[in-house]
Amino acid sequence: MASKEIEVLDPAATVEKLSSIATARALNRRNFMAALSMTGAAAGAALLSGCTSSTVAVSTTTVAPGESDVLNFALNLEYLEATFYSYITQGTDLPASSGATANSGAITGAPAKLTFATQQITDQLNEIYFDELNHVIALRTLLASAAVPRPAINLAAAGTISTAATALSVARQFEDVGATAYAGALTLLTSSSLNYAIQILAVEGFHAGALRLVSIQNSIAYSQADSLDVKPFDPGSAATAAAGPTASGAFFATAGAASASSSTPAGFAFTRTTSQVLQILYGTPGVIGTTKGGFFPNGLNGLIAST
Amino acid sequence: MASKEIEVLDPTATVEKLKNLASRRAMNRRNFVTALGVTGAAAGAGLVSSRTPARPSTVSALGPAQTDYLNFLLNIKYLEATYYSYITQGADLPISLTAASGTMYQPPAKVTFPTQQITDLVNEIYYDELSHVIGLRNILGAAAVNRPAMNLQGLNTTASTTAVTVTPAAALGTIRLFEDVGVTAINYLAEFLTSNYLTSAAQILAAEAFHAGALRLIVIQQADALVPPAYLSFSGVITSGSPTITNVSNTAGLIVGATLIGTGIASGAKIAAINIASEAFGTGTITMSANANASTTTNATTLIGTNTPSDGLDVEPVDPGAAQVSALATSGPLLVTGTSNPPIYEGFFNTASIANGTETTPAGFAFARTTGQVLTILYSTYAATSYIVALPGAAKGGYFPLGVTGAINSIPTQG
Repeated sequence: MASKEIEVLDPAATVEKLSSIATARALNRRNFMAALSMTGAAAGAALLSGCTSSTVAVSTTTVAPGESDVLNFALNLEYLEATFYSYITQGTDLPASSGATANSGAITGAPAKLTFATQQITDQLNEIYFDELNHVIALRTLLASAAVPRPAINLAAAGTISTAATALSVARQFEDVGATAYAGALTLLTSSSLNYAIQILAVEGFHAGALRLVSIQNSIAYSQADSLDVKPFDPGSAATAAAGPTASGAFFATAGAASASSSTPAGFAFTRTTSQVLQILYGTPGVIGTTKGGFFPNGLNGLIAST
Repeated sequence: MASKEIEVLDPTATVEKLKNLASRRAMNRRNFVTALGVTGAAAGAGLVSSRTPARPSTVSALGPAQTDYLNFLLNIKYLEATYYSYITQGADLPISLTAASGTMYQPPAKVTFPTQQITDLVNEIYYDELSHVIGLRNILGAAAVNRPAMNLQGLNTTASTTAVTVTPAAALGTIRLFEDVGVTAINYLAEFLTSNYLTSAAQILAAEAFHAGALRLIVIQQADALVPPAYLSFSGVITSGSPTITNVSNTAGLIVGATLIGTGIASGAKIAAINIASEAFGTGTITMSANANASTTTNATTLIGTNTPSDGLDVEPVDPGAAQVSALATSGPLLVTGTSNPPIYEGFFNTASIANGTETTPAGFAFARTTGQVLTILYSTYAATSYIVALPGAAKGGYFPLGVTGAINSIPTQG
């Protein structure tokens, strides 16, 4: 069925393909490639020459990642999240039926099943596990043979997950980062790929919103992922809250008056480039060109794997 | 793009129909173009025959422009921001945003929430929603529509501008619904947007989802009944002395056990059974727990089922509890026993389950609502004292007694 087709599976996209994409889209893609510091085949020149707008200068020789590459990047993130939740809620790895364990890299630092402070938190995390597991399954289905296997994952990259509080801190960060990753990648996707990504984005947002509230209610420790991260924080005053997020934090990871920009106005959620996402997950803040580390000791699988 | 057509909201939609949605997308797109009165046959054929340009950068000749979709979203944001402004500040939005605005009817009075944390949370959401209005108006520039008239109780009347006292539970239920509906609206709109418009919509979507996730948890923690108590209505025929309602127009979202209100309905009568003979409008039958005490003629009375969550794309915010934790992990949101056509599910988040996941919205994914489906919720009238149903073709009602402003303002008629 058409809705399940991957529009572009070939990273060397055709001229026709690029011609069909909005001018601004192509421009974004170029920015995206620049952010990735990707260098590639001379085919890039031919690709860009097919663009309809003369404003897109042929000034770089790069190959755009195909939509399947972007989806595989997302799949790596979902592997990480789903595996993490599987261990903390089920005490085991993902089920073989998910397809995630075939040809998988090694999973290290896996926590035992955890006991959470309340039944409500337990229930909530079980539902989040369900969501993340199904994001893996759906993305693998959409990508079909193009789906990358699960890479090696070190779940203890941010410290041994031995307590419920530690797990909630990590979970909160995963969800907030996940939401920004999807928000940052949407313009690289079209059609069914876009629809899948935005529906997953919404769910990452649901999880983030709830887990941030749980973090506030349970005084969960906060580890700042990067400068775009917002500490889960109740200002304790309605008037203060109505002024938006501050340096002290906020209920939600959105821009406040001080952190707003033209690309992320006040009240909007942030976006992160793939490089910014990987700098968090690889544990290499501010470093460009890293291909592995942190939660992914051997790096991500797929074309997009470098900070 | 299968989930993105202007899909006619069919109140008797079934899961099977949802599953078939993908295969019907080309036809729906064609119907959609026709419904808009676009007569450029060649252009229309080009649109439906070409799969690749899923989101053309300019669609004005073939359908709503990107700015039309953003203005549709702006209407939703006006509703949210205005509602939050009244319940948190006790006043309308800042005057800088209300130039040439329609009138605000029956605004809620400032609400005192049960805890400081909830008060703070709702205030921060107000900040976000106010900022979304500002952000969208900046993005749209001169194309931004002004705020339409609203009835902030969703009552479709323009009779009173007097503030209405609402309970904290009612306010929380209303904003919970707004946030979940907002998410599904943007999930649908996104495919028609490109570049900065798309990114902005995604950033608003993320914030909307943050809000929904937190508010759903608050509603669960406060153990509030889902409110508004009824936002799906139906008409039917009752006979005095009989427990059966015939000629039922719409059973979507109704649930066995829901309380019924209407002329001739015995006080406290509940839905005992729902029978759907076919998908034809007006052919359903509902059995009540008590006999009717008056008779009505065909479609003369509209009945409202209370505590009816939604349109099949809403998950009731409920913690299923320890006994269901395994089921939650393996099946997702859980079926509420006794629901019918489409079933109602409950869980922490508004996502598809194993049971009602589709090709376009797999399990664990958030739903998308077409503009028509969104308007069906926003144009419906919720109060037990008003019996107006949003029907295909409706261009106003409920929260928007004069309709939303902009090119996308009506529920498509079934094509």
